[in-house]
Amino acid sequence: MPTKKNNFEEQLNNLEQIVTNLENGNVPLEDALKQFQEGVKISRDLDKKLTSAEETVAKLIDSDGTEHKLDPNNASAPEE
Amino acid sequence: MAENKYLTVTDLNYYITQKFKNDPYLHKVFLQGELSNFRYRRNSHQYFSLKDEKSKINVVMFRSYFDKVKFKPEEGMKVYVTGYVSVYGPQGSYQFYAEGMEPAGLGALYEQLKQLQAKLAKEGLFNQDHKRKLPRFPDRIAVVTSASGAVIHDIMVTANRRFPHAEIDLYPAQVQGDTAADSLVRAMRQIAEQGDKYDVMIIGRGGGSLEDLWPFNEEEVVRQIYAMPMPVISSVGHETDTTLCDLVADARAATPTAAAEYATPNLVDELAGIQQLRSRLFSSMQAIIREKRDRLKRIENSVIMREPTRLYDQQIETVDRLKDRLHNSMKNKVDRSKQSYLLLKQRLFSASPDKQMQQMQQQEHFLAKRLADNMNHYLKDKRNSFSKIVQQLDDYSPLKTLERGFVYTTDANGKTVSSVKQVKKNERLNLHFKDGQVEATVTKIEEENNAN
Repeated sequence: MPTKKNNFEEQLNNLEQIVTNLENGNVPLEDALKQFQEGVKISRDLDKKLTSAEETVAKLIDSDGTEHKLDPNNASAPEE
Repeated sequence: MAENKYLTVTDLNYYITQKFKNDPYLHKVFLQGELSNFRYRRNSHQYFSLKDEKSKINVVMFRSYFDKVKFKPEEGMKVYVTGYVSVYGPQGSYQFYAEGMEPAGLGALYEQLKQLQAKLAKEGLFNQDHKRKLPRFPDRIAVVTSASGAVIHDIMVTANRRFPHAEIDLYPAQVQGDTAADSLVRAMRQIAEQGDKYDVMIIGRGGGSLEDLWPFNEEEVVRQIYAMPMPVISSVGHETDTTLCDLVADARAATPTAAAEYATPNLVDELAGIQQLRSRLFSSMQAIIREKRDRLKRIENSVIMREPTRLYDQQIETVDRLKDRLHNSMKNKVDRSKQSYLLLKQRLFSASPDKQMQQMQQQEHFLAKRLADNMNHYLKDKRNSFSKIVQQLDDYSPLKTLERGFVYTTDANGKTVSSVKQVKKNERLNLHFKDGQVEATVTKIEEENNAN
């Protein structure tokens, strides 16, 4: 796997870990509060990340690296 | 048999069947011909004919064999079939039972493909342990396909619908023809050069004949896919067309839409999942707080918290006991001391010097009395002898002599004059008589030598 630039999946795992921890109980209150805050923050971040993009950015990249914008909703791609 | 030389139809067909079965040449027949009367029956055995310019034979291909056919047979297509010949009893017809079918004219390509597949498999390019897990939330997806086909369209639409967050970069390549393989490799190298920019790559092409799909079986293309730094999803041709590209990729999708689905999470599902995690987070936090509060309440309600004095009840009791013991032992000690003091006091009193003093006092009285008595005696004696001596002295007193008429003379200083040598002429002298004194003046002195 290449090194991930975004830690979305990692964050999601963290959130799941936090929820599991809290559900298992036995967490000291201070820790629990800390984890809870962390969890809320992560879930907001994730939500934001997922919903902030309204439309896929699509590009065509030539062999020389030139980028052309593509309309993700339109079938007709530029002519070759 | 003698009375009836006629065979039944069944017997005859059975006999002929045995003939076919026992013929060594008919067990494995390689046959070429043109497909005729081919009408695809879904999920079923296939019945068709093979013919050439002069002849024709009925063919049955059981479903299990037909499922393995790697191309789409079409009416009029030239094919190679393998199988055996046998009789279908109920119809009394012999037919060809096909077990394998390949398009004719592609035999060389197929052979080449198989050899390459075997070689690459031996090298481990298709090994399961090389397959990488697809990322769940890709930021960027690289796509290698034709810029003009439906593939990129399907992928974009699907990705946009499911997970708009993912950016899609199309690296256009020719997907058909002699230069397609080079074009595909070039596009993939361009992607690979950008390191970890892309989380996943899709390589795709629509359906087509074996020749059409051939670039995706080229060794350099397969090896380039194997060398890609990110997971690769392959969607080449239809589901039935398996290319080496599909085998080497980390995941295989039947259609471009499926490929895009593999590459992206469903946003709605993910959001719902996050929402669910969040509500679990809240409820578990509430549960923790409730649990802590309950514990606090239990503690607050405990006997110790309500009557904290109980905490040191025992200590107080211990202190009381110790105090008692202290008091008692002190009292005992005092009592003992007092007793011994009394004893000593008694002994002291019994050893008192009073008696001795009384005795001594008595003795002292006695001695004092004796002293006084003796003293009185002594004084009496002395007084007696003194009286006697005073009498004697009185008896010898010169005053008595005076009474008998003697006079004694004193000078002016009162000094007794007993010799004429003490007297001068005209000196005044006192003459003491028994009843008074006379002052006289010396008028004449006559010393007598014979006196005295």
